[in-house]
Amino acid sequence: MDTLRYGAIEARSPKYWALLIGLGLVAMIGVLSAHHMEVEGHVISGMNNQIVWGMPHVFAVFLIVAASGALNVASIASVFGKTEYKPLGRLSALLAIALLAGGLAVLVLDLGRPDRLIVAMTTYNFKSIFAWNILLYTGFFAIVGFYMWCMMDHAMQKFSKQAGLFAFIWRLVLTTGTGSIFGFLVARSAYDTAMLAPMFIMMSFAIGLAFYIIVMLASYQWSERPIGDLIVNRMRNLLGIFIAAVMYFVAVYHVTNLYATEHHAVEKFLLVDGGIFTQLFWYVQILLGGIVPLALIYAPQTRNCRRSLLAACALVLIGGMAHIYIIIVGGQAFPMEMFPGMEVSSSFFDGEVSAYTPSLWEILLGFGGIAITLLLVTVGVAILDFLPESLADNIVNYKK
Amino acid sequence: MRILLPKLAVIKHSLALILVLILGMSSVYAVDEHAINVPAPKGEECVEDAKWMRVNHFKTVLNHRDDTVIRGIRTTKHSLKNCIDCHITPNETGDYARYSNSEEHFCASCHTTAAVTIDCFSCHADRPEHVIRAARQQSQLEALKENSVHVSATELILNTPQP
Amino acid sequence: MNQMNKKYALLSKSEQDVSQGVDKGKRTFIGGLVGASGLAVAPGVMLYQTASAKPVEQAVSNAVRWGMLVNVNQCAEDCDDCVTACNDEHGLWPKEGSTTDSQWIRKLTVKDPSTGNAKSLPMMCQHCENPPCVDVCPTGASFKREDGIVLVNMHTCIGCRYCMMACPYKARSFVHETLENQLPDSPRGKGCVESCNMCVNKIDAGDNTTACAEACSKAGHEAITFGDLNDPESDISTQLKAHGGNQIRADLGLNTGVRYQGL
Repeated sequence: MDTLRYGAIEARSPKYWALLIGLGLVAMIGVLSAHHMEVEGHVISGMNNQIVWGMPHVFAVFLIVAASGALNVASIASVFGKTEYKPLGRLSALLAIALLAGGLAVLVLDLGRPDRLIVAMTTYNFKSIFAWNILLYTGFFAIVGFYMWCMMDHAMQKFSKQAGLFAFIWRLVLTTGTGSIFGFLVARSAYDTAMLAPMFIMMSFAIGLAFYIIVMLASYQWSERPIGDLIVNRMRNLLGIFIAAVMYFVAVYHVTNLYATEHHAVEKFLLVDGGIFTQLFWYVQILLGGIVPLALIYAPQTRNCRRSLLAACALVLIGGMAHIYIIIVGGQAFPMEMFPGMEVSSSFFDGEVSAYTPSLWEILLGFGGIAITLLLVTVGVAILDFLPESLADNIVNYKK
Repeated sequence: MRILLPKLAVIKHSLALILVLILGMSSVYAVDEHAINVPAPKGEECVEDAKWMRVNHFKTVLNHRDDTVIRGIRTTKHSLKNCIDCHITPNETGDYARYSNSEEHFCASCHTTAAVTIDCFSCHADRPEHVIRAARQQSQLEALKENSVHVSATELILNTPQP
Repeated sequence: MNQMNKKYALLSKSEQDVSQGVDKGKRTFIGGLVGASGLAVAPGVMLYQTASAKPVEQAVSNAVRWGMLVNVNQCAEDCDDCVTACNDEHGLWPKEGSTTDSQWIRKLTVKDPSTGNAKSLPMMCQHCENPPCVDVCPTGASFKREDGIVLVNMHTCIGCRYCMMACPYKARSFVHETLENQLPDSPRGKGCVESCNMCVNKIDAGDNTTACAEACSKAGHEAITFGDLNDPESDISTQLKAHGGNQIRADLGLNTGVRYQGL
């Protein structure tokens, strides 16, 4: 019983079906909300001509960033040769694909003309980082799919390392691309920095891993399969490092901005008097999403408790969400510097901090995306052999 | 299990029957072309052969679309605006049909029968300009009238100096 | 009655004509009428126009680059005729205070907090030579015509709004709801992004002016000059040569087609 064996989970329990139906409902409500938003127009969303990207984009970017991060677990095993992570590789690839699918669904359903998706797929403007992202995302599906095949088919296993390396490089490029969507916007003070791309990569590490840990612990708990402390504690420590790294990047982002006088106004807005954005930054992103999880991970009282690890993961997700909200919405709320040093006013709200109240439809669409992700994972682990039957310490330690 | 499957002959015959029904129905529509109430145009003849246009109008409009938007060519011959100006005529009561809610509209009359879905008129004018201008004015007047219920609010709007 | 007159004044010029029973029939007649009044105000401009109008069947070329020059000193603070004319020309109807209605052109008040000096100017799409909106558009729907006009091809716009994120001038609007009664020469609809198109319909028809420039002349301010930046003899080029013209956010190096004097 100390060899590594994979097996699909039993999909017969009422609990499983309840989960499936519940997720299906949330996903369906999300799609219906998007449909409603398309029929009525975006006027029923909280978005407007000042805040053009809102809650759907926060959810979408969150899920896409998490997708590339979730793949890290597989990369750690096949690229960095940490064999104890090897049993986790298959789920890592599945979760990565599912997260990307969920994120893209939200992004696409929020388009003004989702019916023209085929246009986006067939006509490209290669100068647009957005167009590149479409290719990066489709490529991600293909490459991670192939990587998954290599991990799951014995005959293909010899390509596993190369596929893993390629997938790892691809995911770095993909997150760079996602970060660059904002980094290339020279017009807006909060975005005009190359720091965004590496910061997004670091965020993906933390958010992706947190998502992975939650899904992994939940699957093992609900399918009543054993999982030992060895692997859980490894991941706990890794998560701690990632959280600290994100906080480092956030600090560098703000400090470099503070160095340039022209960015003082936007920094003052984000850090001091930006209302909701300032509160989200200090209380949610930094305190709840950074300091508290670090404490939960490293404090001796909670260090070995899985519940506190789960809490830390959930807080990382909430903090990450707040972080992305501040980047996307906060970055737009701050007035565009059209005439530096001047006071500007107009009927189009120039020079004013823009208000944004997300509508229920947008939020439902966002949760729909998360439900699509979890639905894919739930179905996936039940039909194919993604999960090891045991992740007990003796299995994890097993050397080939 | 085997008994539940219908005999091959039964499948064949029902398929044949369905085929005959479909063909029969489509031939009904085919000969019934003149039963569609297509409103009369303003002019004497179409810019192209009318029969050819019936089959190919979307190609000419589509070509012209890109010529106009991208290359700035604004000849009238194949422009949608020109189609509308000629084909959308008032009925006996002097009203102009809308694409969205009336089969009296030239384009809608045929598209409805042929079950064609287009989204041209979610953006493009489905009636000649002077009709649209009049309709716009009407709706602006109505909006103002609605506002006048709250006189103070209207006063406020009207007296607010423009920035 | 006074109340009614005020309300009535809200209606655009050509719509008033319709309400008075002046049935214009075709668009060209309205254009002709407004054009004629423009002729009276600025005969020199009209003279120049006949010289560079292209035949309708010919594609636009990069031999011309259309642009506008705004003389801020001549722009009256309490006048928004350019905005009204634009709304009338393109069938826009932004309701006051709405955060979602489209505005293709708006009046900006720019105040220097240190001196208290305030200026009023129209702001619209600056028709950049290197437009950020065109760079970021994933489908190429946002494009620059050969003659320098930046446009949205609404047939391929998927409504992602990335161009709105990228535009340094907040020049673009997203159509947030179903529209009714759009004008034939300015088709626009829900789910697409739109912005000032430098009255491309008028330019292609050979009017050689824009609704805003026309209205500004009519109001007697002459603050907006429309013309060909590539033609050194054109009104706009000679004015630019004599008095210069600033780009807004010149630091971005976009080489805008709309220039400002007196900033």
